[in-house]
Amino acid sequence: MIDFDEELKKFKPIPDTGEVAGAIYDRDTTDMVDILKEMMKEKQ
Amino acid sequence: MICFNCGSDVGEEERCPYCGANLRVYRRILYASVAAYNEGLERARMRDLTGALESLHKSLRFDKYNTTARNLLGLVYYEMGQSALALREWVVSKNFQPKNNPVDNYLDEVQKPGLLNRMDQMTQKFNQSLAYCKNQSTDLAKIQLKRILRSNPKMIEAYQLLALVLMREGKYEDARRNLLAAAKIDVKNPITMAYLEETRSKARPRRRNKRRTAPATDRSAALEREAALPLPRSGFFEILDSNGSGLINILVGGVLGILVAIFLIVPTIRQNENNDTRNALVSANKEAANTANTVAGLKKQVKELKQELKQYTGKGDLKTSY
Repeated sequence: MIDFDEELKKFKPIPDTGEVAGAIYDRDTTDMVDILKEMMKEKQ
Repeated sequence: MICFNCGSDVGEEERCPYCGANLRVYRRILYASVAAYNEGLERARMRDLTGALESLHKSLRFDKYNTTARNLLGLVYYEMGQSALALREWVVSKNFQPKNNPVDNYLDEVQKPGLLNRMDQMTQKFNQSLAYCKNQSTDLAKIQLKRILRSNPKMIEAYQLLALVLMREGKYEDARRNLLAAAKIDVKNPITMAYLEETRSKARPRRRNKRRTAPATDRSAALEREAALPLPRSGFFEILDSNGSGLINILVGGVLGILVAIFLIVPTIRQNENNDTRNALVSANKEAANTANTVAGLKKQVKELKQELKQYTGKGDLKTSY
C-alpha cells in the first residue's frame, strides 16, 4: 500500500538553470585518482 | 600515458620514472571507469536511464576526467527532463576538456533563444506542483502537472507525481496510463515500477485472488521480471486505452457488427422469405383445389345434360307428330 505523504517526501525540488553555478561549485568531484594521489602523498 | 602525479609522458611504464607513482593501479582505475561507462551506455541504449545514471556516476567516481561519460550523463539527465542537472554536467565537461569536446553541440543546442527560459518555467511549475501537493491542494497540482507534461512529455518526475495524486484519488487507471508513459522513457525506474505494481493490484481486484497464490516473497524479483523487458509490457486493455487505439476500436466494432449481421439478421430475413414462399404455395394449392372442384362439378353437369339429351333423341319435333 502506497502512502501518499511518505512517497511525497521522496520528491525533491528540481534545481533550475540559475542554480547550476552553485550546483557545480558545491559538487564533490573527488575521484579514485585523487584518492590515489592522497595515498601517495601520505606515503611520502 | 601521462602520469597522474607529475604529468610526465611515461608511455607503457608501470611506475613513473620521474616521481615513482604506481601507474599500474592508475591504469586499472581508468579501465574500470571505461568499463562503467560502457555499461552505462548499454543501459541508456536499452532505455534503462536509472541504471545508466548509476553506471555513469560510477565511471566518474573512478575518473572524473572521463568527459565522454560526463557528456552521456548530461544527456541522460536531459532525456529525463532534468535540464539543470544536464547543464551542470556539460559545463563541468567543458571545463575539464575545453578543446575538441563534443559537448559544444549540446551547449549550443541548450543555449538557443528561449529554451533555457522554457526549461526554467517547467522546473518552477514542477516545484510549485510539489508545494501544492504538500499543502493538500492536489487539484491545483494536477492542473499544473498536466500543463508541464503537455510542454515537456519527457519529465518522468512529473508523471510520477501526477500518478501519485491520481492514486490518492482512487483513479488507478489514469495513474497507470501516466506511469506507462514514464516507463517508456525509463523502463527500470524503481518508483515507476513500484507505482505500477500498486495500480495493478488496485485497478483489477478480480485478479487479486490469483495473484495471492503466487509466492509473495520476491516482490523485487517480480519487479525485475516486469522491468526485464526493454519496452514496457502492454496488455490488450492497455493497448485499447492507449492514445492510438481509436482506429483499433473502430475496426473491432465493424467486425462485431458484421458478425451480428451474419448470425442474427440474415437468418431472420431468410426465415421471413421462406414463410412468404410457404404462404404463397399454400394459397396456390388452395386455388388449384378450388379449380379442380369447379371442373369436377362442371363435368358432372355436362354428363347429366348428355343423359337428358339422350332421352329426347329420336322423338322428333312435337309439331309433326300429329
